Order: sequence, then C-alpha cells, then structure tokens
Amino acid sequence: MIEFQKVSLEYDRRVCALRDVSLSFDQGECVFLVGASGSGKSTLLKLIIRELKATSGRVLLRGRDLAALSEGSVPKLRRQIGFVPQDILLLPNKKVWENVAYAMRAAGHSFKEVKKRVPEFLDRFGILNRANARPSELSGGEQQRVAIARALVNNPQVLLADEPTGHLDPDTSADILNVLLDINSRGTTVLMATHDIATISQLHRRVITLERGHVIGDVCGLRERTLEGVHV
Amino acid sequence: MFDRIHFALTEAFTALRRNGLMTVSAVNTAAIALFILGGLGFMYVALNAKLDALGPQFEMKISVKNRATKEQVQQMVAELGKTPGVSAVKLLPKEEAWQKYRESHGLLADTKDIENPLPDQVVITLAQLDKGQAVREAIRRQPYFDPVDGIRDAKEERQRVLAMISFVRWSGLILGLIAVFAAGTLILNSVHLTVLARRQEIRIMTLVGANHGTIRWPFLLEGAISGVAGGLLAGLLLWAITAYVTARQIAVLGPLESSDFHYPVVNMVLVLMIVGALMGMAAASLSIRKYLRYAA
Repeated sequence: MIEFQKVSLEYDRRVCALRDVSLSFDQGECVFLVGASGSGKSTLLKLIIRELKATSGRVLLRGRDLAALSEGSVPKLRRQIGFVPQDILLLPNKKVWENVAYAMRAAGHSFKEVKKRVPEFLDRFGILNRANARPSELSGGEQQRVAIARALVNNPQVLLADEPTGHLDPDTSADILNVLLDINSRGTTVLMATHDIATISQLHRRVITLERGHVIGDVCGLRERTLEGVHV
Repeated sequence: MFDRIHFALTEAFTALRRNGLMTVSAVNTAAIALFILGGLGFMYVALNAKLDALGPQFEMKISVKNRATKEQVQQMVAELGKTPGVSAVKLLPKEEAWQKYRESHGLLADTKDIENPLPDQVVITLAQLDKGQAVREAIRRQPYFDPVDGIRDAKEERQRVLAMISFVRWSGLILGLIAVFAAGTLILNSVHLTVLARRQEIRIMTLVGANHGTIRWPFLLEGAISGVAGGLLAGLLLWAITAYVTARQIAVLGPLESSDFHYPVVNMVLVLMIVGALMGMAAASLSIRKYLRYAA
C-alpha cells in the first residue's frame, strides 16, 4: 500500500534526515517506528502526507508517486490519510466538539453530517462527556483522544501518529495505544512513531528501528497480546 | 456550495469576534490608512475641480480684418466655436464696440462726427485652460484674423494657473501613490498578524485535506470585513472634518470651502469601503500565501 524506494531526504544539503530507506507497508498493518530523537521517524511520516518531498528515491501510495502529485492533488491525498501531529495541535479557543467539527467542516463535510457524526466520534473515543470542555481543561490522554478523533474525520484508510504517547504516563500511554490498536483492528493501516520501546515490545506487531536516517531493524514481535487490563 | 460559504462566513466572523483586540487594531489601521488615502484623494479631486472651473474666467479677444464681410465674420465665429477647448465665441460688432468705448471714456458728444476706427471683434471663452495654445493656433489660421492687433488675453496668468494645475496633478499623483503604498503596508502588517495568530488553524486545515479555497476564503473575508469597516470609519471621519472645515471657512483650505464643490459623502464612503475591502483581501491573500505551500 505504501512503499519507500531508496528514499533519502536532506535538509539544506547538509543534514541528512533519511538515507536510502526502502520499506513497504501493507493494507491493514500496524507498524511502530522507533528510534531516538532525530532518527528520522517524523520525517518518514511527513513524507507520506507530502509535508516533505524526498531528495531522491520515491514514496508510493497505491503505486502513485507522491512527489509527482500536483499542489491541487495534495488535499485529496490528505483526505485519505489521518495524521496525529506530535504537538497535538488542538485549537485552544474551541471546545472539544468544535475542534473535531472544525476539521470536518474544513475537509468539506456538510453541516448536517458534522452534527450527526461528531457525537459519534466523541463517544467512540470516550470523550463525549468532555464535549464542551476546552483543550486546556483536558488531561494529556484526553487531548490525544481528541487529536485521534479529529484525524479520523475523513474515515481514512491510513492513520499516522507522531509520538502520540510521548508526554504521557505509562497507563495513559497504554490507553492511547489500545485506541490505536482498536482503530487498526477495524482495517485501518496504522503507522506510529514512538521512542517508547518498552511499551510496544509487549505487542505482537511490526517494529521498524531507525537510527540517524537509516533503517537498522525491521522485525515482527513474537508475542501477540493486549496491554494489561485492556481488551483490544 | 452553500456549506462552504457558510463555513467561510462563520469562520471569518468567529475569528473577528474571538480576536477582538486584533480586529480592532486591523480596523483602526485600515481606517487610518484609508483616511490618509481618502483625504488626499478628496483634496486632489476638489483642487482639480476648482482649477478646471477657472477655465471660463479666461477670455481671448481678437480683431477682424476690415475687408471681411458679415458672412465671412459669421463663418469665422462658427469655425472658432468648433475648436476643442473653446466654450463660447461671441461677436462684438464694431458699432457696438465703438459705442461702448465712447461711453466708457465719456466721449459720446465729442466723437459723434468721427468715423468709427474700431474693427469687428471676437471674444473667445476657454473651456480648458491647457488648450490655450491650440486655440491661439486655430485663431492664427483664420484668414480674416487681423494679426496687427494680435490676440489679447491674460497669457501670463493663464500660464501661472496652468503651472499650478500641473503641480497639483503631479504632486497629487505622487502623494497618492505613497499613500496607497503606506496604506497597503499598514493593512498588510495588520492582517499578517491575524494570519500569524491563526497559523494553527491553517495547519489543521491543510492536514485534514481542506482545499486552498476553503482555507483562504475565511481569511479573505476577514480582511475584506476589516477593510470595509475601516473604509466606513475613514469616510465618516473625512466627512466630519470637511463639514467642520467648510463651516469655519478656513482660508488655508480655500478650495474645500468652495460653494460649488461639496463633499460627496455617500460616494466617498462607498469608494473607501470598496478600496478597503480590496486592500484587505489583497493583504490577506499575500499573508496567507506561504502557509498554503504543501511541501517544504
């Protein structure tokens, strides 16, 4: 579904964020990208949503070269991919439901559709009771749930999450991971960047390890299990 | 379609309301910029109208050769009347001219036996001052124009007024351009700040796949609304000041106190509102451009 063919990316011709990366992700996969800060995890995700363009090599989505997309086609691509940014990016002056509704309206959904689907989304992610709260009134985990709900407004086939558990405590991290695994179990391809190796090592999932822009490991976990106390 | 318009309008008005202080600042900036622009524009139009009105005050007087018949004189008057820049041509027959001369000099009794020495005369009134030279050339081409007496007019005064008109027009144009640039920069900076304050919204919109138009329109509307409000304020402020100046008959602003040129309040406010809207939209469009690039 997504393929990286010898992809390299340099910033300012000096800093090399990715070097000769070749990878492929199948439909319905759940993949964790791990590595230290600056290893290239976020860069890899940004290449998929065309926030960045590869310096060399090709990034393909269903056989289509993303670098060849015209500016006008990028919004169409992004409606097929949900993205949870590292900085969460919730609008502080909008309520929880408004944050999700805003994304839906911006993506071109009708007012009627927004009115119907926003409560469904909030309910699905367990934040319906916080619908009228402002982001500053939410816990880190709740904020992350809103960001995930917002990323799914277009029913994308791919969900990319950039360090969604980065600033959360272990219990809340497990909670968010289970939300992502639940999304994956419904057929959505999930790619998640994290440096929380300890948590994801408990899951039977594919883990790609990056170091200074190189892929140094690409393995599937041996044990398939859910996180303690939570059913996936 | 309706949903998109609704979204753009809702977002624009919500942003104006939520960024209250920024909105007030943008409206004020637009008002100040448009006040400068409108004030200069109004002064320019008023002075031009005043200077154009000076045209009919300038006349040229010429003599007709004695051998010209009445028909030939009439034909000359008709031809001169068709000359561009001429508003009126009047024939002053020699009998009438002689009578007037004698009356004005108190010589009615002493000169009753003297043969009329004066020729027929033609008085030409100018419509446009800057056509003076062309009218003089048209006169010289007339076969019955008497070159001995020449063309009698206030040439020096006319040239002085022409120089003044030229100065006003050029300085008005230059000042107008400076005002447009200054107003544009002020509005651009102000709208840029509001765009900067909302770059998070823009990023979210680009991430969820909003089209360029969907992202851009709320900002364009926001810029237009600020510009319209600024234009309205500037127009009303100008009207108030002009009314005050006219009422007080301030001598320095002579052209403004002219009774034949009034402040066109409705037109002025409308023009300033339209200019404000266009400037606001242009500034918003320029400010948002770099945030709409999808890839670094």
